[in-house]
Amino acid sequence: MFANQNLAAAPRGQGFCLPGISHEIPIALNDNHKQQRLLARLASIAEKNGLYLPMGKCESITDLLARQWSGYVARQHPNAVKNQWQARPSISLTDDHLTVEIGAEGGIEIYRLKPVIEALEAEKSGLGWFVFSAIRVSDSYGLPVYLPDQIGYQLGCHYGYDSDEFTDENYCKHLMAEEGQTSPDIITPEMISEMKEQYDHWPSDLLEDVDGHEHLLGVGYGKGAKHPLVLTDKQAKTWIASHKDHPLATVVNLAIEFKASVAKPNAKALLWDCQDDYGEESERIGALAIVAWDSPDLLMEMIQHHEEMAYQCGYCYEALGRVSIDLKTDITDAQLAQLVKQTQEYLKRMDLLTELLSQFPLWERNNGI
Amino acid sequence: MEFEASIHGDSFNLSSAVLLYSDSNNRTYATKHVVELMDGRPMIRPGRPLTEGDYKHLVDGLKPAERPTIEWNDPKILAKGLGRTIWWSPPQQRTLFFKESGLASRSFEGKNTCPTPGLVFMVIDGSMYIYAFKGAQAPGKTTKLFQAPFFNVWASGKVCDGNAQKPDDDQQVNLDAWERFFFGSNFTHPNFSEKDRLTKRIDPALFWKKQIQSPSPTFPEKVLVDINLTVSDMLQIDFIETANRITARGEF
Repeated sequence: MFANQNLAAAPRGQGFCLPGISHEIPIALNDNHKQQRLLARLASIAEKNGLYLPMGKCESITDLLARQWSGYVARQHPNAVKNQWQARPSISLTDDHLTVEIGAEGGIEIYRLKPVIEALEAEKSGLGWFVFSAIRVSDSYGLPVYLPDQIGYQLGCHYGYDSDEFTDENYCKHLMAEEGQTSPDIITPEMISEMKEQYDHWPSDLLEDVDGHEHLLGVGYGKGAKHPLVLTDKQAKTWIASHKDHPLATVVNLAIEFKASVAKPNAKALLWDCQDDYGEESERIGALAIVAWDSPDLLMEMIQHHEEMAYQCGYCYEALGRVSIDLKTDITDAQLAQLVKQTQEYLKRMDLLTELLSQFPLWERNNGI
Repeated sequence: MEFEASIHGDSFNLSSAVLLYSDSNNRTYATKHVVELMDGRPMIRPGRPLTEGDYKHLVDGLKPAERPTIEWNDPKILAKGLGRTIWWSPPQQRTLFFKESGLASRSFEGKNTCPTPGLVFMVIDGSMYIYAFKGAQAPGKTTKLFQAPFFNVWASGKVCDGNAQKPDDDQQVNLDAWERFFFGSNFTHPNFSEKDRLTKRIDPALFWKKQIQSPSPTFPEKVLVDINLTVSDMLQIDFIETANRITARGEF
């Protein structure tokens, strides 16, 4: 312990002379050197995979990595600027994980399906829905896009309505049951009118919003549901073969290319189940773009509900995709090379998808989300 | 689209230095100094005496998660460690000495064997602290402590030594010697004037005058004043700072 008396005066009237610190004493104790070596290995392996090291002075290894990858995107994917890639990619290293994350951004573009899909369908039945099918699968590969099926999803969340039969009558029955009423076998127009005074988002209104394309809403898969004809990849290629100079050939080609890219092994590498580093599951929100049928008003309302709900549920990540390497064991060069390759392939798919989306007209909006 | 890269990990930065000053008798004095980087080189800046709070932070930061700090003892010694000894005594009759003082208008002369409540004592660095508790059972960690209702005790529980002779160095662990030191000296005056603070609903000088004249069979615990402490608080490394924050009006 220490004594309570005051510090004695310095001997012979001299002032205190504070000791210096040997230059051999480190000013920080951490694993930075080990971490920096790991990131240096990543940069070196990335260089061997075509990511040139940046010119000029880099202040740190993290600065070097950021410039190396940003430079790669600029060189390899010039469309990133034209198509305004709205994403926030990052490479982060903790004591436990090396992670590549593609963070989500706000202010994403809103595209309209209707003009292109209808034109393609007019050209050949099933061709428009083939192109749409390419956009729809993107979510399964860590490239989420907000689509009209968000409306059906949110309808289920808000009203617990998850029926195969997407009609006003069925919806009315559901709402009555929710209110504790015994719903009659036959629902009259008067009953629906009465319920409409209390509840929004009626199936007939939603279907009208997407010109009756029930499948776009991700609802109504029951008996009698309308399933559009969708061309196969082979049929789409056959159409291209005979319509190379068609103004819509580009969008069809891009859809074919994108579908081919996601069929490759490891195409789901950055698909993230939204578990954090400690195994806790969270909500993931955010997308590369919003793709509405025509007017995006209702879809945007549902997206806002979706994101608000996710925030209220606790932890939620604004991210598109993510891949991590556990550092519990020593990381090998092969693992680092795989991480580089997976990220490069992901960026290629992002390029194809955003180029595909750019073939659709943008919604003229006043406010982004 | 621009990439970002970052490192997040545990990092311990050189932030301060503790300098120890020792004399030939191995008495040690500690000072704490900020370390600043000047032109990339660490520099020890002028410091200040190490406080109890600094010591607590230091020990808390360095100790292994499961390391015990103070051992619990029974029956008389409640705890020992960190330079302090804590013990207790049950309610009992003790001979008390009161002496008039020209500096205290409420002082009086007298002596008798009077009842005293259950007491918890602590000695640290040659200073004594004393608190009362209710009941006769050995106190536990959650036992509430009350102001020791005696003259010559500060609101913090610290005993005013006055000119009383404290136990010699070789008697520092002699608990009886410490109790004799406290009860064998003359009580001259309450150490503060706040009403209902040393004894509740009765002036302390009047209370003890009555006890000297006609001692009650047992100590009337209803006069004890709650000071919002428990025995557990005394085990905390920064207890002295906690106790010193307990004050009363008219302390002198």
